[in-house]
Amino acid sequence: MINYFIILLLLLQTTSSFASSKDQIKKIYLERFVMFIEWPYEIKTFNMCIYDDRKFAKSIKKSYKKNLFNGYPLKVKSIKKSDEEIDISECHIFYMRSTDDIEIKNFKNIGTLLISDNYDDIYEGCMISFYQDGKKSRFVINQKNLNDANLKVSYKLLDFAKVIDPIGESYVK
Amino acid sequence: MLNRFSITSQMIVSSVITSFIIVFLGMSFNIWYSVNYEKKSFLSQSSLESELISDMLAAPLAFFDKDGINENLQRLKYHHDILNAVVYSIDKTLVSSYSIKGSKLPLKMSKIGIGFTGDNSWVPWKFGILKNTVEIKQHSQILGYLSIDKNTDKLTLFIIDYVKNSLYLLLILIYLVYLTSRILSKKILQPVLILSQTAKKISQTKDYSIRVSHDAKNEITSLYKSFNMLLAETQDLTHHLESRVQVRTKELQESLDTLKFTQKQLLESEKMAALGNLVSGVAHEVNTPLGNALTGGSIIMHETKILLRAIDSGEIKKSTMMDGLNTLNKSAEVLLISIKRAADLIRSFKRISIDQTVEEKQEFNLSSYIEEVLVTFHNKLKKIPVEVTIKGDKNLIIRSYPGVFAQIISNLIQNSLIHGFEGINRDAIIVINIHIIDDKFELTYSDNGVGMDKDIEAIAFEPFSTTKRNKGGTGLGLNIVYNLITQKLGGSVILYTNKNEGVKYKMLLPLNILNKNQEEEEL
Repeated sequence: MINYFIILLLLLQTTSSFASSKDQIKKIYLERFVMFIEWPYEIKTFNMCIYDDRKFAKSIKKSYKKNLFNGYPLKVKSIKKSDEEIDISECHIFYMRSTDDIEIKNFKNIGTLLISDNYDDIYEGCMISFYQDGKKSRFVINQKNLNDANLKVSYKLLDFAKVIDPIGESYVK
Repeated sequence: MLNRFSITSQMIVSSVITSFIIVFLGMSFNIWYSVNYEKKSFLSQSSLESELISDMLAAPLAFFDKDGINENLQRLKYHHDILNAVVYSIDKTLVSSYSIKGSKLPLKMSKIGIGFTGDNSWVPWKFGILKNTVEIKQHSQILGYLSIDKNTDKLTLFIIDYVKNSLYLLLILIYLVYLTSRILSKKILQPVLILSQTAKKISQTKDYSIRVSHDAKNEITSLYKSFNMLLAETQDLTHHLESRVQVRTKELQESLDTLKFTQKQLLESEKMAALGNLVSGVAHEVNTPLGNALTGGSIIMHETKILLRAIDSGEIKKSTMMDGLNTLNKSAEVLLISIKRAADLIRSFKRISIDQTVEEKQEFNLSSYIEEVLVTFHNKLKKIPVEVTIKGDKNLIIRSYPGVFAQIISNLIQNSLIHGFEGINRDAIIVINIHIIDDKFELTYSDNGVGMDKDIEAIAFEPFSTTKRNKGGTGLGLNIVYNLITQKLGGSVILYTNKNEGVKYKMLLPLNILNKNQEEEEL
């Protein structure tokens, strides 16, 4: 575990330029989000939908083929830009690698965690957005959006992350 | 020890000691309870604190944010009693740490749990360092460990302060109890003290007319009432005591007179009995010489008739005349000797009988006088037979009451004959010894008879104690002996005896015995 931790730290601090490394971190981050967020219903198999990054979807699928995803069997669905109709009702996580061609506000759904790689999407209805702080990958949380989707986030995560639209002032960082 | 103090002091001391014990025990329990409560509270608070810190560390640790971990650990600087905190990864390797200046980080992670390092210390208020290691986890998933070392000075100071304040409170309470019991004991004991002072005053002044009064209606009133009643009775008794003493004295005097009269009568009876014995002895002793004298007289008469008849016939020869005269002469000698013996015996009996009835002091040779007394027992002594020996100073002449000595020796010989030598199958011996000791003389009478057992010896001198009551014994013999020696002669007597070893009476008597009545008359 510690070795893994050290590698990740090194990756975070020194190899942010390598996209594959970033993806590796994000892959782990996605699992950690699940650890701190509570869904409104019982989950037996975790469905993760990846928009516009088939390669990443494949990588995640491979990583958790034999391992559980935070204790759940993981099912990964890759959604293409070209798909005419995007249905996220079955997705527990909808991770958007690019959002140029989609209207996020249209994806509001109870029990679906919307994650984007674009910081500004946090104001468009996204719940967690990654951003780059120097060499470090960080994320921002929109608590209101999470609340609207009936997703409960742990105070521990709120205390750690940057929070937009907090519910109650205690979590403002 | 308390008995040396006044009743007020005793009450104050008792109250103070009792209160001290109760307050001390109560306070000790309170301290013990508070210390334990504070300790548990400290542990609980520390545990909660550690849980909160671990919660704050969960997310940074989950997202591998060392800066976030450090940032959270740095917040501990506001917790002044935390010495150090170390975050370990799930495989117990150090990830990040915080420590105040001078605090050493632990070399390895301590086991999960909370506890004081000084729990085994003999000083109860020293707890050492509080070590607490908790899991950093999200839901059931362990992310790492947090180990915190905490200073326990705060807890120690609290306990010391608490004990100190408790002791101050104890002292104040005891002082208050002292003041209260002093006031109350004065108030409560005042009636008792008044009673005590009054009793003391009465004992000094003998004034039984004094009375005590009390206005309350409690046990003291009853006590006062009883005390007053006692005083009234004492006053009444004191008032009538003199007349009652006179009545009692008169009654006692009458009883004493009656007793003396009875005693005198008894003594007279005993004396008469002794004289009776003496007369019977005289008759027996004088009978023999008188018989001999009678025989001598008869012979003289017979021989005289023969001689006269021969003279009348004119045929008397000189030889016949000489034989007759010789017979007459021998018979006259026998007659004279016998008459003289009878006269001697009668003289002795007369003297002893007079001595026993006339109580006048005379100078006499004690040994010779005793021998004369023995003569009156000649027949009885000869019958057993008993060998009587007088030893010691036979020339001792005393001025005393010979009749008393005759009574003493007679009673002792009677006892030897009746009790001592009854059924004895050895040579009976009586030894009388006279011995001068300074201005006194010792008269010892002993026989080798059957003696007395211890029960008889113990009551030998008591009146009416006899083993021959059925055979006419009065039980007064030795009592008379004792009274004559101690009262009449002013001496003392000790009896030594053992069963089958005879008796020995040791009498110590003054040489010059004065009659007390005479002395008083002379004065």
